[in-house]
Amino acid sequence: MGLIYAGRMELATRYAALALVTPPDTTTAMPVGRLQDDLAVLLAEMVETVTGLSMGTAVQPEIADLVRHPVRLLRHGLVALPPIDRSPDPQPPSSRWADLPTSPTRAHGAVQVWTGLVVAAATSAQAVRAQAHHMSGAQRWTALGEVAALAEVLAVTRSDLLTQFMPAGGRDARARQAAAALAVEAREVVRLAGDPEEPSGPTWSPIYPSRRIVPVSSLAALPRAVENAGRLLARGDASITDVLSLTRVLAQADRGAVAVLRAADGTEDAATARLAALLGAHADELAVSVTQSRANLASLTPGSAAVLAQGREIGASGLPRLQAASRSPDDALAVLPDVTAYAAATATMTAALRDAAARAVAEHGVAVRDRSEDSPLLWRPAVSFDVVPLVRALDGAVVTARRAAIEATTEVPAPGAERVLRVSTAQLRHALARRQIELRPDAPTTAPLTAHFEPVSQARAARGA
Amino acid sequence: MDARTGAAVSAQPEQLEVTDVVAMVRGVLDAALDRCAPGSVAALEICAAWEGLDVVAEASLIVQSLPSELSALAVLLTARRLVRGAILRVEPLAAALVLAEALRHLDTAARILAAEELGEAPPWA
Repeated sequence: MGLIYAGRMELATRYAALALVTPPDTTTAMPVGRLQDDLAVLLAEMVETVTGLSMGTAVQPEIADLVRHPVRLLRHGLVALPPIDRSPDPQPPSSRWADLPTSPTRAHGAVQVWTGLVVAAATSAQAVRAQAHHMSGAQRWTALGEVAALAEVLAVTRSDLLTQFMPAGGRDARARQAAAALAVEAREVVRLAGDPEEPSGPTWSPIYPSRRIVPVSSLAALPRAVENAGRLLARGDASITDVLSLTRVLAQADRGAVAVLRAADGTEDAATARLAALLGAHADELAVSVTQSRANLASLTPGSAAVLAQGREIGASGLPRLQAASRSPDDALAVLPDVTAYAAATATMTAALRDAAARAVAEHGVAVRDRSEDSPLLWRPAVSFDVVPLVRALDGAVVTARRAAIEATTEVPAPGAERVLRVSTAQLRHALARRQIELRPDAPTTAPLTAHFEPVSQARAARGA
Repeated sequence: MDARTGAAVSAQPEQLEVTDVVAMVRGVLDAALDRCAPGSVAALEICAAWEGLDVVAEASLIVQSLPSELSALAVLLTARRLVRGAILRVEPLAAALVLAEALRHLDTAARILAAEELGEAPPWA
């Protein structure tokens, strides 16, 4: 790949990392928003240049497109991101990009960091235009992964900006949805680009289905993502740090789900209150075990990238959606069936976490902190005794999760699915029920036994008479 | 796997290798976890930041002896300074984004701890 492109993209990535941790304040929110708009345009151009994809007029994508055409959807998500600056005559780039720092270390404040990012992305786009036709399939995937990583930064920071500085509802609600969708789409492409099992070289194709990770593009996908995490853990290649990571994610998702259940109807419905209590207890069991083990356990094996990616997807996309839904009773009510389905799915994943922890130590893949004062080293290989507290806590969490699953599947609290019953319909049902009662024998279990069966010849003789 | 004890946080971190800075951050986060309630919302965010460090560098840890009167919030501010410095120097570049994500988790933990000091709590706590 060309040196100019690589150098400029490295600079852009460094600025992007700073942009993630340098939030704007009230005075710089709008200038940063305009620079984000510039970045969206530049990244969409780069996706087109690298892949050759051009959509022409915007088409409303379907959820299934994320699996079928992730790269096309990324390009669409960048184009469809609503701009912050809707004025008819926005300032030209020369004025917006004037405050350019000399290097990332000298960038002060959000505006300078974002200016550095946008200018580095612009020069990268220029370089990739000149070099794209010389790129191999592997180089295209690499470039696409880098562009998608910047797109994810853009989506996350745009969500932050909208949450902190823009009023909720209406047009901005759509902008938030667009930013959240772009984050999912960009992450999916980053995964595809970084997956060594994906094809490269002559088989290059920008349209390639994802096979292993369930994206959480809405809360309806959260239960499937949790089930998939359980399946990936059961493959047996997860390390102890993978287990801790997914335990943390599950605990946080539980707490988000509890907040949604409480926001939906508080403690008015007994079944919902029981489910919330069980999920809360499940979250506490997981959270205590992971926070007590985090600094004491380390992995001696590489672990599973797929497990981590699924956990990251649940944490980065599922958690914010749960927390957003819990802020409004109406939103909480709308996603109640999804949250109930999530509760039903947690038992399998918790059991998979417990089994993976036990397996990791049995296969000598765990190191434990040695806190004894006479120890020459801080770490030693763990034996099964060392992870007993973690496995026992996960065992308890499995029991709680199974109770929650039973509660979730026994009575589904979905008041939104109830139909309004008209008076005429009720009367008709009542009349039909009465008619059925009249038709039934008084004692249905004994009725067949009391029936009289006559031989055919006797019946004919009786009719003839 | 590496382990050292007692290196002071006050040493100029920009003169150290990034892997050593990450090890130092782990020691600081260990101290922060000790100061948080087990299983608390803030402690989980610190764990999330720790996961990012594991992606960037091997699980070495430099134990930090911090004054006991320092609160978890003050300890996190130390970790923040170290991680931000590492973002500017870490190689490969993809690791800078991972560290930035870890720093966002630390910022979330700091916001939660600050709210708790004011007697507030996040709605999902």
